[in-house]
Amino acid sequence: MKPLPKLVLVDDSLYAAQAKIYPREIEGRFARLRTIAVFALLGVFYLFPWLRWDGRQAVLFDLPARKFYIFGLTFWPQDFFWLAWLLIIAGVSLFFVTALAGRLWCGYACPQTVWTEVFLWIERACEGRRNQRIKLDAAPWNTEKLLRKGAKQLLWIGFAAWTGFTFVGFFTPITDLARETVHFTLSGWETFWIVFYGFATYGNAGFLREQVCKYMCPYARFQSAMFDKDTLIVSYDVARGELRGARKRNADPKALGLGDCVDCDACVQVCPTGIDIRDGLQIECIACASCIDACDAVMDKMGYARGLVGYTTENLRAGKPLRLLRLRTLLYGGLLAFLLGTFVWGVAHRAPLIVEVLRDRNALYRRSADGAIENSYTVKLVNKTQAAQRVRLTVVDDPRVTIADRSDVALPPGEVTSVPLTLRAVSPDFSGMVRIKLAARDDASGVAATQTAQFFVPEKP
Amino acid sequence: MNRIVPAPVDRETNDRLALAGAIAWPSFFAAGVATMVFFALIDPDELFNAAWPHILLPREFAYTLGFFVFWTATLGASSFTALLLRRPKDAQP
Repeated sequence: MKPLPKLVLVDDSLYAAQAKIYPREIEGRFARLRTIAVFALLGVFYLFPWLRWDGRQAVLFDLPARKFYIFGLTFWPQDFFWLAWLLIIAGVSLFFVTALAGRLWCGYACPQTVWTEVFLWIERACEGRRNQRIKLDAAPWNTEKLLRKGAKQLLWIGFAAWTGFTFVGFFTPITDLARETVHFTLSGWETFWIVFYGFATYGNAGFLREQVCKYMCPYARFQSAMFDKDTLIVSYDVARGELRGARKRNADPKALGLGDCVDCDACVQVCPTGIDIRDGLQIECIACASCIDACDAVMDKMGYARGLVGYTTENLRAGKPLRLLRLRTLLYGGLLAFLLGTFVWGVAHRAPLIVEVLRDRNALYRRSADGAIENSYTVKLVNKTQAAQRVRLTVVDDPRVTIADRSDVALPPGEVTSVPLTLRAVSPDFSGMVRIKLAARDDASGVAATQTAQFFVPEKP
Repeated sequence: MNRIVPAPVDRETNDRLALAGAIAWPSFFAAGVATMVFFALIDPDELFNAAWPHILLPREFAYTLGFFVFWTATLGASSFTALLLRRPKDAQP
Protein backbone atom coordinates (compact mmCIF):
# COMPACT_ATOMS: atom_id res chain seq x y z
CA MET A 1 0.00 0.00 0.00
CA LYS A 2 1.10 3.51 -0.70
CA PRO A 3 1.10 6.17 1.97
CA LEU A 4 -2.07 8.25 2.30
CA PRO A 5 -2.54 11.40 0.21
CA LYS A 6 -0.35 14.19 1.45
CA LEU A 7 -2.87 16.91 2.13
CA VAL A 8 -1.56 19.07 4.94
CA LEU A 9 -4.22 19.39 7.59
CA VAL A 10 -3.78 22.07 10.19
CA ASP A 11 -5.39 22.02 13.66
CA ASP A 12 -8.48 24.15 14.17
CA SER A 13 -7.48 27.23 12.25
CA LEU A 14 -10.27 28.91 10.31
CA TYR A 15 -8.34 28.26 7.12
CA ALA A 16 -6.26 25.22 6.34
CA ALA A 17 -2.74 25.71 5.16
CA GLN A 18 -2.60 24.83 1.53
CA ALA A 19 0.17 23.97 -0.84
CA LYS A 20 0.28 26.09 -3.97
CA ILE A 21 -1.91 24.39 -6.54
CA TYR A 22 -0.54 23.50 -9.95
CA PRO A 23 -3.54 22.20 -11.88
CA ARG A 24 -2.46 19.63 -14.44
CA GLU A 25 -3.53 20.22 -18.02
CA ILE A 26 -6.41 18.04 -19.11
CA GLU A 27 -8.21 17.12 -22.29
CA GLY A 28 -11.64 15.62 -22.55
CA ARG A 29 -15.34 16.22 -23.08
CA PHE A 30 -15.82 18.66 -20.22
CA ALA A 31 -12.57 20.49 -20.78
CA ARG A 32 -13.73 21.09 -24.36
CA LEU A 33 -17.07 22.33 -23.06
CA ARG A 34 -15.30 24.78 -20.79
CA THR A 35 -13.08 25.98 -23.61
CA ILE A 36 -16.22 26.66 -25.64
CA ALA A 37 -17.74 28.52 -22.68
CA VAL A 38 -14.57 30.58 -22.28
CA PHE A 39 -14.60 31.60 -25.92
CA ALA A 40 -18.34 32.33 -25.93
CA LEU A 41 -18.41 34.35 -22.71
CA LEU A 42 -15.16 36.22 -23.18
CA GLY A 43 -16.13 36.74 -26.82
CA VAL A 44 -19.27 38.50 -25.62
CA PHE A 45 -17.26 40.54 -23.14
CA TYR A 46 -14.47 41.62 -25.49
CA LEU A 47 -16.54 42.07 -28.66
CA PHE A 48 -19.84 43.58 -27.51
CA PRO A 49 -18.49 47.08 -26.86
CA TRP A 50 -17.34 47.21 -30.49
CA LEU A 51 -20.73 46.38 -31.99
CA ARG A 52 -22.77 49.25 -33.43
CA TRP A 53 -26.52 49.73 -33.35
CA ASP A 54 -28.38 52.64 -34.96
CA GLY A 55 -25.19 54.67 -35.24
CA ARG A 56 -24.18 54.25 -31.61
CA GLN A 57 -22.43 51.64 -29.49
CA ALA A 58 -24.78 48.65 -29.19
CA VAL A 59 -24.14 48.01 -25.50
CA LEU A 60 -23.22 51.13 -23.59
CA PHE A 61 -23.88 52.01 -19.97
CA ASP A 62 -23.44 55.70 -20.53
CA LEU A 63 -22.83 56.92 -17.01
CA PRO A 64 -21.96 60.54 -17.89
CA ALA A 65 -25.27 60.89 -19.76
CA ARG A 66 -27.17 58.69 -17.28
CA LYS A 67 -28.56 56.44 -20.00
CA PHE A 68 -28.05 52.71 -20.62
CA TYR A 69 -28.22 51.29 -24.15
CA ILE A 70 -28.67 47.57 -24.70
CA PHE A 71 -29.13 47.05 -28.43
CA GLY A 72 -32.58 48.46 -29.25
CA LEU A 73 -33.45 49.28 -25.64
CA THR A 74 -32.66 52.47 -23.80
CA PHE A 75 -32.85 52.59 -20.02
CA TRP A 76 -33.26 55.87 -18.15
CA PRO A 77 -32.66 56.49 -14.45
CA GLN A 78 -36.45 56.21 -14.08
CA ASP A 79 -36.16 52.63 -15.39
CA PHE A 80 -33.71 51.61 -12.71
CA PHE A 81 -36.48 49.48 -11.26
CA TRP A 82 -36.29 47.22 -14.31
CA LEU A 83 -32.52 46.88 -14.11
CA ALA A 84 -32.89 45.86 -10.46
CA TRP A 85 -35.57 43.42 -11.65
CA LEU A 86 -33.10 42.05 -14.16
CA LEU A 87 -30.55 41.46 -11.40
CA ILE A 88 -33.20 39.59 -9.40
CA ILE A 89 -33.92 37.48 -12.49
CA ALA A 90 -30.21 36.70 -12.75
CA GLY A 91 -30.20 35.65 -9.09
CA VAL A 92 -33.25 33.39 -9.39
CA SER A 93 -31.83 31.86 -12.60
CA LEU A 94 -28.73 30.97 -10.63
CA PHE A 95 -30.89 29.31 -7.94
CA PHE A 96 -32.85 27.42 -10.58
CA VAL A 97 -29.78 26.17 -12.41
CA THR A 98 -28.11 25.26 -9.12
CA ALA A 99 -31.10 23.21 -7.97
CA LEU A 100 -31.13 21.36 -11.30
CA ALA A 101 -27.51 21.03 -12.24
CA GLY A 102 -25.44 21.96 -9.22
CA ARG A 103 -22.51 24.28 -9.59
CA LEU A 104 -22.66 24.54 -13.35
CA TRP A 105 -22.14 28.28 -12.92
CA CYS A 106 -18.88 27.78 -10.98
CA GLY A 107 -17.43 25.23 -13.38
CA TYR A 108 -18.17 26.91 -16.68
CA ALA A 109 -19.58 30.43 -16.46
CA CYS A 110 -18.23 32.28 -13.43
CA PRO A 111 -15.86 35.08 -14.49
CA GLN A 112 -13.42 33.79 -11.88
CA THR A 113 -13.29 30.39 -13.62
CA VAL A 114 -13.30 31.79 -17.11
CA TRP A 115 -10.51 34.31 -16.59
CA THR A 116 -8.48 31.90 -14.49
CA GLU A 117 -8.65 29.46 -17.40
CA VAL A 118 -7.14 32.03 -19.76
CA PHE A 119 -4.45 32.95 -17.25
CA LEU A 120 -3.63 29.24 -16.94
CA TRP A 121 -3.34 28.92 -20.73
CA ILE A 122 -0.85 31.78 -20.71
CA GLU A 123 1.02 30.21 -17.81
CA ARG A 124 1.22 26.87 -19.65
CA ALA A 125 2.41 28.54 -22.84
CA CYS A 126 5.26 30.23 -20.96
CA GLU A 127 6.20 27.79 -18.21
CA GLY A 128 5.16 24.44 -19.59
CA ARG A 129 3.20 21.57 -18.14
CA ARG A 130 2.49 20.90 -14.47
CA ASN A 131 5.72 19.13 -13.58
CA GLN A 132 7.79 21.66 -15.48
CA ARG A 133 6.06 24.47 -13.59
CA ILE A 134 6.73 22.88 -10.21
CA LYS A 135 10.36 22.30 -11.13
CA LEU A 136 10.71 25.83 -12.43
CA ASP A 137 9.35 27.30 -9.20
CA ALA A 138 11.72 25.15 -7.14
CA ALA A 139 14.74 25.92 -9.32
CA PRO A 140 17.15 28.78 -8.53
CA TRP A 141 16.80 31.95 -10.61
CA ASN A 142 18.61 31.77 -13.93
CA THR A 143 18.16 33.28 -17.35
CA GLU A 144 15.60 30.75 -18.48
CA LYS A 145 13.47 31.11 -15.35
CA LEU A 146 13.67 34.90 -15.66
CA LEU A 147 12.65 34.78 -19.33
CA ARG A 148 9.78 32.35 -18.77
CA LYS A 149 8.43 34.14 -15.70
CA GLY A 150 8.95 37.54 -17.35
CA ALA A 151 7.09 36.52 -20.48
CA LYS A 152 4.22 35.17 -18.41
CA GLN A 153 3.95 38.37 -16.38
CA LEU A 154 4.14 40.51 -19.50
CA LEU A 155 1.32 38.56 -21.16
CA TRP A 156 -0.73 38.50 -17.98
CA ILE A 157 -0.40 42.24 -17.49
CA GLY A 158 -1.17 42.90 -21.15
CA PHE A 159 -4.25 40.72 -21.05
CA ALA A 160 -5.39 42.29 -17.76
CA ALA A 161 -4.92 45.78 -19.19
CA TRP A 162 -6.96 44.87 -22.24
CA THR A 163 -9.64 43.51 -19.89
CA GLY A 164 -9.68 46.76 -17.89
CA PHE A 165 -9.85 48.76 -21.11
CA THR A 166 -12.80 46.68 -22.35
CA PHE A 167 -14.56 47.03 -18.99
CA VAL A 168 -14.35 50.82 -19.12
CA GLY A 169 -15.45 50.57 -22.75
CA PHE A 170 -18.86 49.45 -21.52
CA PHE A 171 -19.25 52.75 -19.68
CA THR A 172 -17.69 55.24 -22.03
CA PRO A 173 -17.76 54.93 -25.86
CA ILE A 174 -14.99 52.46 -26.64
CA THR A 175 -13.92 54.05 -29.92
CA ASP A 176 -13.28 57.34 -28.09
CA LEU A 177 -11.49 55.37 -25.40
CA ALA A 178 -9.26 53.68 -27.98
CA ARG A 179 -8.44 57.03 -29.57
CA GLU A 180 -7.63 58.55 -26.19
CA THR A 181 -5.45 55.57 -25.30
CA VAL A 182 -3.45 55.89 -28.51
CA HIS A 183 -2.98 59.64 -27.99
CA PHE A 184 -2.32 59.32 -24.24
CA THR A 185 -5.24 61.61 -23.46
CA LEU A 186 -7.23 59.31 -21.18
CA SER A 187 -8.96 61.19 -18.39
CA GLY A 188 -8.01 60.52 -14.80
CA TRP A 189 -11.05 58.46 -13.93
CA GLU A 190 -10.77 56.38 -17.13
CA THR A 191 -7.13 55.58 -16.39
CA PHE A 192 -8.01 54.79 -12.81
CA TRP A 193 -10.77 52.31 -13.65
CA ILE A 194 -8.75 50.60 -16.40
CA VAL A 195 -5.91 50.07 -13.93
CA PHE A 196 -8.29 49.11 -11.11
CA TYR A 197 -10.21 46.51 -13.12
CA GLY A 198 -7.06 45.26 -14.80
CA PHE A 199 -5.40 44.85 -11.43
CA ALA A 200 -8.47 43.04 -10.05
CA THR A 201 -8.39 40.63 -13.03
CA TYR A 202 -4.67 40.03 -12.63
CA GLY A 203 -4.97 39.51 -8.89
CA ASN A 204 -8.03 37.25 -8.99
CA ALA A 205 -7.24 35.15 -12.06
CA GLY A 206 -3.44 35.12 -11.95
CA PHE A 207 -2.65 35.16 -8.27
CA LEU A 208 -5.60 34.25 -6.01
CA ARG A 209 -7.42 31.75 -8.27
CA GLU A 210 -9.08 28.98 -6.27
CA GLN A 211 -8.68 30.98 -3.06
CA VAL A 212 -11.41 33.32 -4.33
CA CYS A 213 -13.79 30.36 -4.54
CA LYS A 214 -12.68 28.92 -1.21
CA TYR A 215 -12.41 31.95 1.01
CA MET A 216 -14.10 34.89 -0.69
CA CYS A 217 -17.09 33.68 -2.65
CA PRO A 218 -20.43 33.94 -0.85
CA TYR A 219 -22.16 31.76 -3.46
CA ALA A 220 -19.83 28.87 -2.64
CA ARG A 221 -21.04 29.07 0.95
CA PHE A 222 -24.79 29.22 0.37
CA GLN A 223 -25.16 27.16 -2.81
CA SER A 224 -25.65 24.05 -0.70
CA ALA A 225 -29.02 25.49 0.37
CA MET A 226 -30.24 24.93 -3.20
CA PHE A 227 -28.98 21.36 -3.28
CA ASP A 228 -31.06 18.25 -2.76
CA LYS A 229 -30.63 14.57 -3.51
CA ASP A 230 -31.56 15.09 -7.17
CA THR A 231 -29.06 17.84 -7.87
CA LEU A 232 -26.38 17.06 -10.42
CA ILE A 233 -23.00 16.68 -8.70
CA VAL A 234 -19.56 15.41 -9.55
CA SER A 235 -18.98 12.27 -7.56
CA TYR A 236 -16.74 9.25 -7.17
CA ASP A 237 -18.36 5.82 -7.23
CA VAL A 238 -17.06 4.47 -3.95
CA ALA A 239 -18.67 1.05 -4.34
CA ARG A 240 -17.01 0.55 -7.70
CA GLY A 241 -13.68 2.19 -6.97
CA GLU A 242 -12.70 0.72 -3.59
CA LEU A 243 -10.39 -0.78 -2.57
CA ARG A 244 -8.24 1.51 -4.65
CA GLY A 245 -4.75 0.46 -5.56
CA ALA A 246 -2.13 0.28 -8.27
CA ARG A 247 -2.07 -2.76 -10.50
CA LYS A 248 -0.69 -3.90 -13.84
CA ARG A 249 -2.85 -3.13 -16.83
CA ASN A 250 -3.73 -6.73 -17.56
CA ALA A 251 -4.11 -7.78 -13.93
CA ASP A 252 -7.51 -8.98 -12.74
CA PRO A 253 -8.62 -6.57 -10.00
CA LYS A 254 -11.00 -9.15 -8.53
CA ALA A 255 -8.18 -11.59 -7.99
CA LEU A 256 -6.20 -8.84 -6.26
CA GLY A 257 -9.23 -7.81 -4.19
CA LEU A 258 -9.20 -4.32 -5.71
CA GLY A 259 -11.87 -1.99 -7.04
CA ASP A 260 -11.62 -0.02 -10.29
CA CYS A 261 -9.70 2.96 -8.86
CA VAL A 262 -6.04 2.54 -9.81
CA ASP A 263 -5.09 5.32 -7.39
CA CYS A 264 -3.16 7.20 -10.06
CA ASP A 265 -3.94 10.57 -8.44
CA ALA A 266 -4.84 12.05 -11.83
CA CYS A 267 -8.13 13.40 -10.46
CA VAL A 268 -6.26 15.17 -7.66
CA GLN A 269 -3.59 16.64 -9.91
CA VAL A 270 -6.03 18.22 -12.35
CA CYS A 271 -8.22 19.72 -9.62
CA PRO A 272 -8.01 23.51 -9.72
CA THR A 273 -9.01 23.74 -6.04
CA GLY A 274 -6.66 20.98 -4.94
CA ILE A 275 -9.15 18.52 -3.46
CA ASP A 276 -9.55 14.77 -3.78
CA ILE A 277 -13.00 14.03 -5.19
CA ARG A 278 -12.77 10.52 -3.75
CA ASP A 279 -13.22 12.03 -0.28
CA GLY A 280 -16.82 12.86 -1.20
CA LEU A 281 -18.68 16.06 -2.06
CA GLN A 282 -16.74 19.02 -0.71
CA ILE A 283 -17.54 22.71 -0.55
CA GLU A 284 -14.32 23.48 -2.45
CA CYS A 285 -15.53 21.52 -5.50
CA ILE A 286 -16.50 23.97 -8.23
CA ALA A 287 -17.87 21.13 -10.40
CA CYS A 288 -15.47 21.87 -13.25
CA ALA A 289 -15.46 18.13 -14.11
CA SER A 290 -11.70 18.09 -14.79
CA CYS A 291 -11.46 15.00 -12.56
CA ILE A 292 -14.11 13.29 -14.73
CA ASP A 293 -12.03 13.92 -17.84
CA ALA A 294 -8.88 12.76 -16.08
CA CYS A 295 -10.47 9.59 -14.73
CA ASP A 296 -12.21 8.75 -18.01
CA ALA A 297 -8.86 8.90 -19.81
CA VAL A 298 -7.33 6.51 -17.27
CA MET A 299 -10.33 4.16 -17.41
CA ASP A 300 -10.01 4.11 -21.23
CA LYS A 301 -6.34 3.23 -20.90
CA MET A 302 -7.10 0.45 -18.43
CA GLY A 303 -9.93 -0.88 -20.55
CA TYR A 304 -12.47 -0.23 -17.77
CA ALA A 305 -15.85 1.44 -18.20
CA ARG A 306 -15.93 5.23 -17.92
CA GLY A 307 -17.76 7.02 -15.13
CA LEU A 308 -15.85 5.97 -12.00
CA VAL A 309 -15.86 9.72 -11.39
CA GLY A 310 -18.86 11.27 -13.10
CA TYR A 311 -21.79 13.60 -13.13
CA THR A 312 -24.60 12.03 -11.15
CA THR A 313 -27.06 12.72 -8.36
CA GLU A 314 -27.19 11.34 -4.87
CA ASN A 315 -30.39 9.45 -5.72
CA LEU A 316 -28.95 8.02 -8.96
CA ARG A 317 -25.92 6.74 -7.08
CA ALA A 318 -28.32 5.06 -4.65
CA GLY A 319 -30.09 3.41 -7.58
CA LYS A 320 -33.20 5.58 -7.44
CA PRO A 321 -34.73 7.20 -10.53
CA LEU A 322 -33.89 10.77 -11.57
CA ARG A 323 -36.55 13.32 -10.71
CA LEU A 324 -36.32 16.64 -12.55
CA LEU A 325 -39.78 17.90 -11.57
CA ARG A 326 -39.86 18.43 -7.85
CA LEU A 327 -41.14 21.14 -5.52
CA ARG A 328 -37.84 23.00 -5.49
CA THR A 329 -37.34 23.16 -9.25
CA LEU A 330 -41.03 23.92 -9.88
CA LEU A 331 -40.93 26.80 -7.37
CA TYR A 332 -37.73 28.29 -8.76
CA GLY A 333 -38.92 27.70 -12.32
CA GLY A 334 -42.33 29.26 -11.70
CA LEU A 335 -40.81 32.26 -9.97
CA LEU A 336 -38.36 32.68 -12.81
CA ALA A 337 -41.11 32.50 -15.44
CA PHE A 338 -43.16 35.08 -13.54
CA LEU A 339 -40.20 37.46 -13.17
CA LEU A 340 -39.23 37.11 -16.82
CA GLY A 341 -42.80 37.64 -18.02
CA THR A 342 -43.25 40.73 -15.87
CA PHE A 343 -39.93 42.09 -17.09
CA VAL A 344 -40.76 41.69 -20.78
CA TRP A 345 -44.23 43.16 -20.31
CA GLY A 346 -42.98 46.02 -18.14
CA VAL A 347 -40.09 47.00 -20.41
CA ALA A 348 -42.34 46.88 -23.47
CA HIS A 349 -44.92 49.08 -21.75
CA ARG A 350 -42.61 51.75 -20.39
CA ALA A 351 -43.91 55.32 -20.72
CA PRO A 352 -42.35 56.84 -23.83
CA LEU A 353 -42.85 60.37 -22.51
CA ILE A 354 -42.58 61.79 -19.00
CA VAL A 355 -43.87 65.21 -17.95
CA GLU A 356 -42.86 66.90 -14.73
CA VAL A 357 -44.28 70.25 -13.69
CA LEU A 358 -42.28 72.30 -11.18
CA ARG A 359 -43.75 75.50 -9.74
CA ASP A 360 -41.52 78.54 -9.77
CA ARG A 361 -40.79 79.32 -6.18
CA ASN A 362 -40.74 83.13 -6.31
CA ALA A 363 -44.42 83.88 -5.99
CA LEU A 364 -47.67 82.00 -5.62
CA TYR A 365 -49.35 84.09 -8.31
CA ARG A 366 -48.97 87.30 -10.30
CA ARG A 367 -51.61 89.76 -11.45
CA SER A 368 -51.14 90.77 -15.07
CA ALA A 369 -51.92 94.17 -16.55
CA ASP A 370 -55.34 93.05 -17.78
CA GLY A 371 -56.33 91.78 -14.33
CA ALA A 372 -55.83 88.06 -15.00
CA ILE A 373 -54.05 85.83 -12.47
CA GLU A 374 -50.91 84.08 -13.71
CA ASN A 375 -48.77 81.23 -12.24
CA SER A 376 -45.44 80.27 -13.71
CA TYR A 377 -43.82 76.83 -13.91
CA THR A 378 -40.94 74.94 -15.41
CA VAL A 379 -42.03 71.92 -17.41
CA LYS A 380 -39.53 69.06 -17.83
CA LEU A 381 -40.31 66.79 -20.74
CA VAL A 382 -38.42 63.52 -21.09
CA ASN A 383 -38.64 62.07 -24.60
CA LYS A 384 -37.65 58.44 -24.11
CA THR A 385 -38.27 57.49 -27.74
CA GLN A 386 -35.58 57.42 -30.42
CA ALA A 387 -37.61 59.84 -32.63
CA ALA A 388 -38.08 63.60 -32.41
CA GLN A 389 -41.49 64.56 -31.02
CA ARG A 390 -43.44 67.79 -31.24
CA VAL A 391 -45.88 67.87 -28.34
CA ARG A 392 -48.74 70.27 -27.72
CA LEU A 393 -49.32 71.28 -24.10
CA THR A 394 -52.93 71.64 -22.95
CA VAL A 395 -54.82 71.98 -19.69
CA VAL A 396 -57.21 69.06 -19.51
CA ASP A 397 -60.90 69.52 -18.67
CA ASP A 398 -60.62 72.89 -17.00
CA PRO A 399 -61.67 75.85 -19.16
CA ARG A 400 -60.97 78.30 -16.32
CA VAL A 401 -57.21 77.95 -16.67
CA THR A 402 -55.43 78.43 -19.98
CA ILE A 403 -51.85 78.37 -21.21
CA ALA A 404 -50.60 81.89 -21.70
CA ASP A 405 -47.32 81.65 -23.53
CA ARG A 406 -46.85 78.55 -25.62
CA SER A 407 -48.42 75.55 -27.16
CA ASP A 408 -45.91 73.43 -29.07
CA VAL A 409 -42.60 72.13 -27.76
CA ALA A 410 -40.04 70.35 -29.93
CA LEU A 411 -38.43 67.37 -28.18
CA PRO A 412 -35.23 65.94 -29.65
CA PRO A 413 -34.96 62.14 -29.45
CA GLY A 414 -33.80 60.72 -26.15
CA GLU A 415 -33.41 64.09 -24.47
CA VAL A 416 -34.76 65.98 -21.49
CA THR A 417 -36.23 69.37 -22.46
CA SER A 418 -37.09 72.07 -19.94
CA VAL A 419 -39.41 74.94 -20.89
CA PRO A 420 -40.90 77.77 -18.85
CA LEU A 421 -44.70 77.82 -18.85
CA THR A 422 -47.24 80.38 -17.70
CA LEU A 423 -50.82 79.46 -16.90
CA ARG A 424 -53.52 82.12 -16.53
CA ALA A 425 -57.07 82.44 -15.28
CA VAL A 426 -58.84 85.50 -16.69
CA SER A 427 -61.63 85.94 -14.19
CA PRO A 428 -61.32 83.17 -11.64
CA ASP A 429 -64.55 82.13 -10.00
CA PHE A 430 -62.64 80.15 -7.36
CA SER A 431 -60.26 81.05 -4.59
CA GLY A 432 -57.15 79.54 -3.06
CA MET A 433 -55.74 76.55 -4.89
CA VAL A 434 -57.04 74.42 -7.68
CA ARG A 435 -55.48 71.25 -9.08
CA ILE A 436 -55.15 71.18 -12.83
CA LYS A 437 -53.99 68.47 -15.18
CA LEU A 438 -51.42 69.30 -17.83
CA ALA A 439 -51.23 67.11 -20.91
CA ALA A 440 -48.46 66.83 -23.49
CA ARG A 441 -49.28 65.05 -26.72
CA ASP A 442 -47.73 64.54 -30.13
CA ASP A 443 -50.71 64.13 -32.43
CA ALA A 444 -48.61 62.63 -35.21
CA SER A 445 -47.09 59.80 -33.16
CA GLY A 446 -49.74 59.59 -30.45
CA VAL A 447 -47.09 59.79 -27.73
CA ALA A 448 -48.70 61.43 -24.71
CA ALA A 449 -48.39 61.97 -20.98
CA THR A 450 -50.12 63.97 -18.27
CA GLN A 451 -49.14 65.45 -14.94
CA THR A 452 -51.04 67.34 -12.24
CA ALA A 453 -50.02 70.79 -10.97
CA GLN A 454 -51.27 73.35 -8.52
CA PHE A 455 -52.66 76.73 -9.61
CA PHE A 456 -53.01 79.49 -7.03
CA VAL A 457 -55.31 82.52 -7.02
CA PRO A 458 -55.87 85.06 -4.22
CA GLU A 459 -58.23 84.03 -1.43
CA LYS A 460 -61.63 85.74 -1.69
CA PRO A 461 -62.23 87.92 1.34
CA MET B 1 6.65 6.02 -8.15
CA ASN B 2 8.35 9.36 -7.73
CA ARG B 3 5.76 12.12 -7.45
CA ILE B 4 6.53 15.78 -7.69
CA VAL B 5 4.88 17.51 -4.79
CA PRO B 6 4.67 21.30 -4.56
CA ALA B 7 6.04 22.98 -1.48
CA PRO B 8 3.45 24.20 1.02
CA VAL B 9 2.82 27.90 1.40
CA ASP B 10 3.53 29.30 4.83
CA ARG B 11 0.37 29.20 6.87
CA GLU B 12 0.33 32.68 8.34
CA THR B 13 0.49 34.36 4.93
CA ASN B 14 -2.27 32.11 3.72
CA ASP B 15 -4.50 32.89 6.72
CA ARG B 16 -3.97 36.60 6.41
CA LEU B 17 -4.71 36.55 2.70
CA ALA B 18 -7.88 34.56 3.23
CA LEU B 19 -9.09 36.95 5.92
CA ALA B 20 -8.31 40.01 3.79
CA GLY B 21 -10.26 38.45 0.93
CA ALA B 22 -13.21 37.64 3.15
CA ILE B 23 -13.31 41.27 4.27
CA ALA B 24 -12.59 42.92 0.94
CA TRP B 25 -14.83 41.02 -1.42
CA PRO B 26 -18.25 41.24 0.31
CA SER B 27 -17.65 44.89 1.17
CA PHE B 28 -16.68 45.57 -2.44
CA PHE B 29 -19.86 43.91 -3.62
CA ALA B 30 -22.08 45.76 -1.14
CA ALA B 31 -20.47 49.08 -2.07
CA GLY B 32 -21.12 48.36 -5.75
CA VAL B 33 -24.79 47.70 -5.15
CA ALA B 34 -25.14 50.75 -2.88
CA THR B 35 -23.46 52.95 -5.50
CA MET B 36 -25.79 51.69 -8.21
CA VAL B 37 -28.94 52.27 -6.19
CA PHE B 38 -27.80 55.65 -4.89
CA PHE B 39 -26.83 57.10 -8.25
CA ALA B 40 -29.82 55.61 -10.04
CA LEU B 41 -32.01 57.70 -7.76
CA ILE B 42 -29.79 60.75 -7.42
CA ASP B 43 -28.07 62.60 -10.21
CA PRO B 44 -24.71 63.78 -8.82
CA ASP B 45 -24.99 66.98 -10.89
CA GLU B 46 -28.22 67.92 -9.14
CA LEU B 47 -26.88 66.86 -5.76
CA PHE B 48 -23.82 69.08 -6.10
CA ASN B 49 -25.89 71.92 -7.50
CA ALA B 50 -28.11 71.83 -4.45
CA ALA B 51 -25.46 71.19 -1.83
CA TRP B 52 -22.18 72.69 -3.02
CA PRO B 53 -22.93 74.89 -6.04
CA HIS B 54 -19.38 76.29 -6.15
CA ILE B 55 -17.84 72.84 -6.74
CA LEU B 56 -17.69 71.67 -10.35
CA LEU B 57 -17.35 67.90 -10.51
CA PRO B 58 -17.87 65.72 -13.59
CA ARG B 59 -20.34 62.90 -13.06
CA GLU B 60 -17.65 60.23 -13.61
CA PHE B 61 -15.64 61.59 -10.71
CA ALA B 62 -18.74 61.80 -8.56
CA TYR B 63 -19.55 58.13 -9.28
CA THR B 64 -15.97 57.08 -8.52
CA LEU B 65 -15.89 59.14 -5.34
CA GLY B 66 -19.30 57.81 -4.30
CA PHE B 67 -18.16 54.21 -4.84
CA PHE B 68 -15.08 54.64 -2.68
CA VAL B 69 -17.00 56.46 0.06
CA PHE B 70 -19.41 53.51 0.15
CA TRP B 71 -16.55 51.03 0.06
CA THR B 72 -14.79 52.77 2.93
CA ALA B 73 -17.96 52.43 4.99
CA THR B 74 -18.62 48.77 4.12
CA LEU B 75 -14.92 47.88 4.48
CA GLY B 76 -14.96 49.47 7.92
CA ALA B 77 -18.03 47.49 8.94
CA SER B 78 -16.61 44.18 7.60
CA SER B 79 -13.28 44.81 9.34
CA PHE B 80 -14.97 45.50 12.66
CA THR B 81 -17.00 42.31 12.32
CA ALA B 82 -13.81 40.37 11.63
CA LEU B 83 -12.16 41.99 14.65
CA LEU B 84 -15.09 41.23 16.95
CA LEU B 85 -15.36 37.64 15.76
CA ARG B 86 -11.68 36.97 16.39
CA ARG B 87 -11.31 34.28 19.00
CA PRO B 88 -9.05 35.20 21.92
CA LYS B 89 -6.43 32.61 21.02
CA ASP B 90 -6.16 33.94 17.49
CA ALA B 91 -5.04 37.24 18.96
CA GLN B 92 -2.11 35.64 20.73
CA PRO B 93 1.17 35.50 18.87
